[in-house]
Amino acid sequence: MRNMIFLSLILVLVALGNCKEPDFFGYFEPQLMTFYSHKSDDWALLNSNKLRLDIEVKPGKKVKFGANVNFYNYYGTTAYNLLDYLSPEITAIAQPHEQYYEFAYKDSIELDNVYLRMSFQYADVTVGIQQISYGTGYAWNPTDIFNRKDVLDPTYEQPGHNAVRFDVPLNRNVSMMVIYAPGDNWNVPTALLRLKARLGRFDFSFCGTTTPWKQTFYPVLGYREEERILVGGDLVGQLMGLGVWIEGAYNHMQLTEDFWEMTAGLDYTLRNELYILGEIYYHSEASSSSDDYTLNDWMSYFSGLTRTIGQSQAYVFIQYPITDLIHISSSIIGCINDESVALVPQLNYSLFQDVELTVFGNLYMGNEGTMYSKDLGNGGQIRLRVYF
Amino acid sequence: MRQKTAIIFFTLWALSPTLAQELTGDQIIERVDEIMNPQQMQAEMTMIIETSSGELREFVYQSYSKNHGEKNLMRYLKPSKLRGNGTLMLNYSDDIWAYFHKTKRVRKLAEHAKRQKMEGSDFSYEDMGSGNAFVMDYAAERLEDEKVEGIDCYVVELTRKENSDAGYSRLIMWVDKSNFVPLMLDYYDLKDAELKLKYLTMSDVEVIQGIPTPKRMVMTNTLDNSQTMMEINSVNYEVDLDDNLFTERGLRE
Repeated sequence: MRNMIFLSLILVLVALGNCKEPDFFGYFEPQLMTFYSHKSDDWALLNSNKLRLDIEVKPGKKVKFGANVNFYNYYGTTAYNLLDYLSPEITAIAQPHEQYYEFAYKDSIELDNVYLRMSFQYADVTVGIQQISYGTGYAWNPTDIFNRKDVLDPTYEQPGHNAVRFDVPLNRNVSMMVIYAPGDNWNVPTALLRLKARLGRFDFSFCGTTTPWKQTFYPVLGYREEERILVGGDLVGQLMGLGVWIEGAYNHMQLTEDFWEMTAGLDYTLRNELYILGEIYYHSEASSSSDDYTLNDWMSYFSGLTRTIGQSQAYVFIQYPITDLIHISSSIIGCINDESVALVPQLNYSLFQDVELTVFGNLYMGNEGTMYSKDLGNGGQIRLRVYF
Repeated sequence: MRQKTAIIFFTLWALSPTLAQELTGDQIIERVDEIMNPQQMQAEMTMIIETSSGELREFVYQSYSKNHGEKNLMRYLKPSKLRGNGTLMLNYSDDIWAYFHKTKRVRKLAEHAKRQKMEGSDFSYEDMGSGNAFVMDYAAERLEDEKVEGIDCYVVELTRKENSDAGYSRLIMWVDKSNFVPLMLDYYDLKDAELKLKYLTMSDVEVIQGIPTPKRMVMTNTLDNSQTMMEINSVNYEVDLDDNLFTERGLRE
């Protein structure tokens, strides 16, 4: 795989040699993360270095080539077992196959984007690996079948997806997005159609998606693929001075239970620049009590297959610029059903023109077995980002 | 051709001293609005912030405007951190969309987002945005004429209208009588109408394609003594901007 990526890079660079004014940019991001494990009664330290290298070139007025490569390097406590962070009731049934729950960060090279965008009179066509993000939710996007945001850091970049995308403006206020993502099999692709329109002070959209949905069942480690059909929509605008949004989706599953997800939120900036955002989330098939959480629920959550374990969640984000260079903020994420809360205080310091320092805390306060249980490992991160 | 004729007519009319003396505050502000919000504009701007640490930070962006400021698009070229990010403002900044290049995400923002400072500068998005704010959000009253650095100026006090969402209680504007360019603008606190928050000075006025253009603007914050300077690197008023530029598709380009 690495050889393929390097070969692709060389081909891209050779191709760029024939084009004028390629732009190279990106960032370097060293990060130090520490967290406390109640099980081992010790602090773990995980360090990482990320180098994102972007290339953009416009061979013609209507053609754009874009790519970015992410280089990841990890050291410190890079391997751990997920069972160490779950309650004994949950882990008991997994014990015979403890090794299946081990996870390790490995040095890697990944492509988030390698795409060619061609702009025609009636459409933009983007072919290749590309970041795909849509939906009006801030922490959760029920209509987005491609990504699942990390609720502790929801604005972080999402990985790219191999796809062909068509953006078609139908008139001044209505546009259509069509995505075809072949995945592992050309016969069973992910396909999306999204219509977006403006009405007064509101933007709204409707979307339909079909995708092959893969699930692993724990602890038996059974594997199943079924068709998932998602029908949903979103709305964003302004009401009585507040920013408001709503996003929801109904999911028809070929073999398992159908479910629906919904998120709604609002935000406001006070005159003193204090910014406040609130959002709630609901998943119809998630458990309404922590007593019902299963190992399968936890593993689906850790692997990104589902956005929640508990049925209802709430998210609050507050940010204030204490100087022109320093912003302080905090996220408070709560699972309403099991009354667990996680607090993510954050300080962002713009050290120099293109150098940013961010200090996060990850403070889980819930009881054992809850979604934001303190067993998940309280800790924090220091992230430095140097843009070039 | 029609635009040039209008500019010549307007200049002759503006230079007529007898008529000019009779102008009311509203009429002066309307003229300022016309000068500051031409039919179309494409510009490259540099913003330099002197931070609280004493360091100078430079931001370069492209700015596109159409329909006398009704449509605006701004796209960052520098610094690297913001490169490719953009903001689309329609309906005189009532509708705002922000584009984040690194995540390829477009987010619609409510009007309150205009209260935030532009990249830690002394300009808020509100100061930058809505083209017709002086006319729509404030009631104008002409005060006694004064000179600013030897230049004869109209002085107009703009008081926030009752149902307006403007972020200042009042503004005082010194307008060059010869070309209707505001040379100085004082901003007063929303709650305390006597508290001056900051002031803007405009200078290096050049007539470009028939339109008097202040090429340098400096916003000084009187409370913390910080300063932000903005310069026009290049500007073109005769550009033909397609409406498609002022869409989400245009924002992503």
